[in-house]
Amino acid sequence: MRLNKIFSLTIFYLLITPFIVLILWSFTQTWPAGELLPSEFGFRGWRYILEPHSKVWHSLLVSLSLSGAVTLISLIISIPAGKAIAHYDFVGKSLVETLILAPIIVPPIAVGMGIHLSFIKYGLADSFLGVLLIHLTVTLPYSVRIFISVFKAAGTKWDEQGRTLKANWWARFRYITWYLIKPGLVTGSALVFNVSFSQYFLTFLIGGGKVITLPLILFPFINSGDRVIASSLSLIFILSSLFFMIIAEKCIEDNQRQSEFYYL
Amino acid sequence: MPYIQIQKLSKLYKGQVVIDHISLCVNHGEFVVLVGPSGCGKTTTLKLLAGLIEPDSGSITIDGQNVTNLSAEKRDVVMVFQDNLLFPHITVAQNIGFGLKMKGVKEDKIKAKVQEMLSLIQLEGMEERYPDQLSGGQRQRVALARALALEPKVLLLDEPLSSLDPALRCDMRDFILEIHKTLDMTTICVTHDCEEALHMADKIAAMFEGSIVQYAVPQEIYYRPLSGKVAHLFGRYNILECPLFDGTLLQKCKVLTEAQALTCETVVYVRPESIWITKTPTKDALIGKVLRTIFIGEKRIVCFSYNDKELVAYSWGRQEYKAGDKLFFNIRWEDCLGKSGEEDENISGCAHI
Repeated sequence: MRLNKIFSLTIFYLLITPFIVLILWSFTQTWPAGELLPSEFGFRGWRYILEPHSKVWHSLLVSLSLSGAVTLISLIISIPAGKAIAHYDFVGKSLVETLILAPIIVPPIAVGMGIHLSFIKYGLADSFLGVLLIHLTVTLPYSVRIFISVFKAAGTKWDEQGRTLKANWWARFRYITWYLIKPGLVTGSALVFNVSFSQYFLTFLIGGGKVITLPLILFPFINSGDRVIASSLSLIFILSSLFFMIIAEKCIEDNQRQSEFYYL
Repeated sequence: MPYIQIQKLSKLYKGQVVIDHISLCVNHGEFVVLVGPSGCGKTTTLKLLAGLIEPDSGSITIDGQNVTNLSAEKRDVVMVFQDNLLFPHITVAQNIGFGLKMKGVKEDKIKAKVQEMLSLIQLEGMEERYPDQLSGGQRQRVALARALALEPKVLLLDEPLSSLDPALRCDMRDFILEIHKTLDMTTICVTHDCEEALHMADKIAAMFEGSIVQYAVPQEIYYRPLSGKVAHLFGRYNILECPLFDGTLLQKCKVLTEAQALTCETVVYVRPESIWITKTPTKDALIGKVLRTIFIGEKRIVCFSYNDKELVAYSWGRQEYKAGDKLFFNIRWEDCLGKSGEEDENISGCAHI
């Protein structure tokens, strides 16, 4: 029992320590090297963020709507795709599976470079839509994968039971499948959102500096070693991501906690 | 006209024959049990009947209507699966009313039907519970009620009792039979438990490798199995050559091996209880020597030798046989020769196919 407590406390501190450092840095004025704590506190980081011309808020809005849309579209595509691959046999199934996974087997940078040329051709480069599409190529392999596992684990028996109880396909999805895949929805949207939310290179490449997301604002500060502003931005970053998670969790709430199915 | 008529139904799965030209007729109100080893195609047959999978050839007629190509949603057939599959996120009442809701029945009618079902399964007052707040037996009863609420023409049960513990299983058997009779249902049930099959069935269909090998009433299939495989399904047996001469039975006994049985035309499968053993000589008795006995509760299994071949019989009561003892036995041929070896002409039970 005691060992258990020590263990969970250790885990807790391991998780929380980086946050404490971030919070400290974001309120630092000067922090001489080698000191345990900053010698002077200040609000430079937060002032920068709150300044109207800093573009932080605008980029946050772009980031949230971009990643939100990516998450939603990913889920809408992955649910039927996952079900099809998990439950049905069709010609070229293994090819489809490989193609879906391809973007994360090949480094995303290479994929992005290749797609960039086509996007320029079709006028998708430097646009929100283009960035959305390139994010989808990275997130879809993950979300489809998740739903393949979710549907494989649930099996076809629930669907069959629904059919013998005279439920049509939509009723089966609405009243049965939806509840079975809820845990997968939560896990899937968290993963997809975060992959998209922290995407730097592909946004930069395809967005061409026209689509400014939060990571694009954050990176230069990390690069140039301005830890104060970088830390404040990181906190904003983490908070918005957490905020999204809470909303997702609430939307897909499992009131009874009845689903015995698989957080994957 | 039989109520359910399955004609030459076949199903291939990945090029392999799973169901091989099955024909079967079931009358209205009958309780038919499909029994066989796992993988013999019992559940597939049930799913074909439910419309969950489509046959590659053959036809199914229910109540005069050809339903072969009718999808499960439109068929008047409901299937109860092995592990109840109650929807975990809705209450007992919502589970029972699910099918009616899908059919678009009005709310107040659903409510009335749910109440009726709850009293039928003796779970009044449980309507607001969730499935995980019920015991295994209660869940199975709710699953049954959910199916029955739709008042299907045919009820299909896929190993409905296998997830229950043995004590509960017996109660549930009686319960299912009672409901079957009360509602005048036509029921087809799948099981691999021979005792369950004998207990519940009006007729039993023994399935092996995608075919129905024998279809008969329980007594018939138990005492007069058509093959060693069917005999094996329902417990211990002896393989003997039938000593029928000029219409009179001679008290003779020739024990056969499984291999010999395949070529012998007058083979009979004799249940251990059809061999009458005593310690004292009786009329026409044959003499054997006890090899070993096994105590299994209400009876003992007595294995004895006769002409160097082994036979098995039961000893009831307290008479003890010890290895090496001499025993006398008579075979009650009448048990196994009701139809004097004359085979049922068609296995399907259909008169005119």
